[in-house]
Amino acid sequence: MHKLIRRLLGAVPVLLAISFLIFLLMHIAPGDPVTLMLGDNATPEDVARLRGELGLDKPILVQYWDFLSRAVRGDFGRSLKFGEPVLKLVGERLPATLELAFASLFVAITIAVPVGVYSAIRHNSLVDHAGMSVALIGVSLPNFWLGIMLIYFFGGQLNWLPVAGRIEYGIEIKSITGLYLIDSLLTGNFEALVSVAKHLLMPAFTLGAALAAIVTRISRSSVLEVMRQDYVTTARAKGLSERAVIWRHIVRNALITIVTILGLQLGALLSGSVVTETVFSFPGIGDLLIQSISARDYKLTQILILMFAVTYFVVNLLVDFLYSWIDPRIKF
Amino acid sequence: MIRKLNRREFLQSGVSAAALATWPSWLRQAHAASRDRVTIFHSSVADSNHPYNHSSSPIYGNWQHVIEPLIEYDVGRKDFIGVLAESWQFQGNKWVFKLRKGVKFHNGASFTSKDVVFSVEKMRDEKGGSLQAPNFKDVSEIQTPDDHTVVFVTKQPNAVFLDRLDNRFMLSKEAGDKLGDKIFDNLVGTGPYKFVSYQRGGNMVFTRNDDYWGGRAAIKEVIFKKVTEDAARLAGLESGQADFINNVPDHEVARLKKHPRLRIDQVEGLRMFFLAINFAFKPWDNKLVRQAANYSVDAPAIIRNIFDGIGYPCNGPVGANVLGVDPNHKRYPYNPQKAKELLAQAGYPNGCDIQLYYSGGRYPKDREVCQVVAAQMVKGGFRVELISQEWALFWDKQGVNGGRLPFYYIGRGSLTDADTLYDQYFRTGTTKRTNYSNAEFDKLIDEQQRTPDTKKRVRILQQAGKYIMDEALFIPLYNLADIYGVTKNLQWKKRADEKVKAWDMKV
Repeated sequence: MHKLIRRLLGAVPVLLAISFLIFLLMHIAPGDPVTLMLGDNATPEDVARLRGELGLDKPILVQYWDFLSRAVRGDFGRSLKFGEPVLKLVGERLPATLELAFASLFVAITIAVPVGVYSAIRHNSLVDHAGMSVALIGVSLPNFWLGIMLIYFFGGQLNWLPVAGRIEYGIEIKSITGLYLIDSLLTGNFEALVSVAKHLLMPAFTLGAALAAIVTRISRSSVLEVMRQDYVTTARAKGLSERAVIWRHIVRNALITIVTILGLQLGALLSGSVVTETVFSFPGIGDLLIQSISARDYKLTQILILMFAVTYFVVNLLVDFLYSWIDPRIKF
Repeated sequence: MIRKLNRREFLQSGVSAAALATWPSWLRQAHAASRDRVTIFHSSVADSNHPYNHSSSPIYGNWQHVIEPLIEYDVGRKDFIGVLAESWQFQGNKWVFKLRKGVKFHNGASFTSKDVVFSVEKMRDEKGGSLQAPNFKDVSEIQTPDDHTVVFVTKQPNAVFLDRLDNRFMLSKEAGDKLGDKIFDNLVGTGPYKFVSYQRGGNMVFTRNDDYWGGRAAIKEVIFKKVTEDAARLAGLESGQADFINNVPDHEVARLKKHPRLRIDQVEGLRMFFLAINFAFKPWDNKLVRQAANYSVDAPAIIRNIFDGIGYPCNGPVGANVLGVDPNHKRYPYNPQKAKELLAQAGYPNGCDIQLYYSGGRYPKDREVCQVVAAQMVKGGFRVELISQEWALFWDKQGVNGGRLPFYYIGRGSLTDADTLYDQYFRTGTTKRTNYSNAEFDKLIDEQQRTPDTKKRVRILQQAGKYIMDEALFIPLYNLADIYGVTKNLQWKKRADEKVKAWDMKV
């Protein structure tokens, strides 16, 4: 337990440094939020007055100190663009992005790991070649293009799936975790479950496709590598069934590499969500981040990027835990 | 020969057949078009539940379902019409409004002059998140002699105050007193629809106000859904998930026109596109160079070749729907030879170097437009360097608003009154966007801003327009079409101001 606390404490200076860096970069970057907010009709006097009202005319370090001293009290300020507390905005949107990320991970893992393992075991077979070719295509497709193609066929032409949003209007869902799939399951709301699943299918596949392709290739090469180890030959020699050899000796040892890649790729998944959410009008933080950066909304951008950093940190912590679960020889 | 199936194969094929037969039907989305509900996929829906936290025409259109303005600009008539105000008078430095009687808010309270004062105070509250305060900066006092009269006292006579009052919506003071800070969570207005729900980045839903003072709307419920991706809006319309979409890409127009269930509606938009010239930079201080530039750019060709002919070239300094337009104005004809001659007269016999700035991705096909403009200007004797900047940088004080860009491609939205463009771009000191200064021109602008008689004002604006064209102060290009995709059974009143009004619709 104290090791966990040590890891968490170690994250504090990293997050502080990140927050300062974002603050500095956002303020150095050209573009003024007030000029953007006020639009065509604003005169220089209007801009100057509102900058003063919002405290944007103070020196950067003073503004950063204001931010920090409020942040420790849990007040992250108001969004310049939306005029609402940034925590409220993030709270509204974060569950959607988490749900999308988990769904994409699920898509990636359920497709990629079995295909990768099977391709390695049936090395150089037709399935192996087909699997690797599809993976190559998956990795090469830009996700915005894949998203638009899915929208065109499954939304526009076949009308099987909704082209935008998270749930159909009129279906009420009782929020418990904020993750609609989980909430609809917990409350036994089948109508909501179907609607949420239909809304999630295309974005999750779009976001998960590239990850699935990478994980397929990594799983295959990792399993191939393990298969050449002496202990696998020994396991076979002592008469273990092929199934036991594969699952207990090969896959389990190959998982270390796969889990490492999944942890590292989560960053790509989060940055990919920015594009995917925009294409599908999916109300998550990726879409919010695009809007906040375009509007030079310092406070909102700051907290959103920090959220990404925290998520990355938590996932890598989980990956470390998983290592010691997969291979008890590894000490956390 | 038919092979017998074993039990497992039989079950497998049975399940597959059932799945194939039922999958599409239970997956398929319901078609929505009916008198009960219209679903609109729009690229721009309110980003917040604060009705004063924006300055964008489509979003004004969202809020106007629930809350209404005193007056509204009617593009067809080129004049203002009363909504919550019945009549108004310009008296020196006063604007006197007589309010419509018998109007009720959704909570049953009567609409009075106190609601106007309350709403304007909310609009002036920048700390509370309003972005509409600059419209009232000239107002020194608001008087309410009785429940149905409001007097706006301005620091000096201001004939264009009506333009500032357009899209300024009225809230219920009673609801405000009761709800305090929560007033925007459950908006109470006088509009043809009542507020139902708002989800940021999701749906904005209104239901019909059966007691509306202007008569009951035909459509019972309206859903605005923010869908920014063009392909998704189109797919939504084609599949029937949406009944109405905006911003149909022009290359899709011909295809959708052949669709058995859909219709394309297009209208000349109020966003005018032009090439702005900054007089602080050489060679733009030279009138002959500016005229040469005007002769070099062929706006009709840009519309024909880039926008598939869907656009309206400006024949003068403003588009045809703008108050102050002069039908006698003519744009500079495309004549690259004449441009070269003018450049030679100006002292540039071997052509001159210029930079053209734009913000790639901000406006429809802006990259293509600027590339064609550059190519056309090269034929007219200019050597053009194209520079694209991100919008935040382009629009910033280091860009357009700091007077730092010598020559740039820009659009001006919701342009209903020529004064707006002339004042912002050419009057001394209003902005730094062109750094133009001329006492004679300023006098015209000041004079029309003090003139209460609209006909007289228009004549002065036309005079100012002629001055702009003669001096070639900029290069007017075109207004593009606002293109909507609509299901055939849905009728609506097309509007040039980008507002989509469900109470103008019927199935």
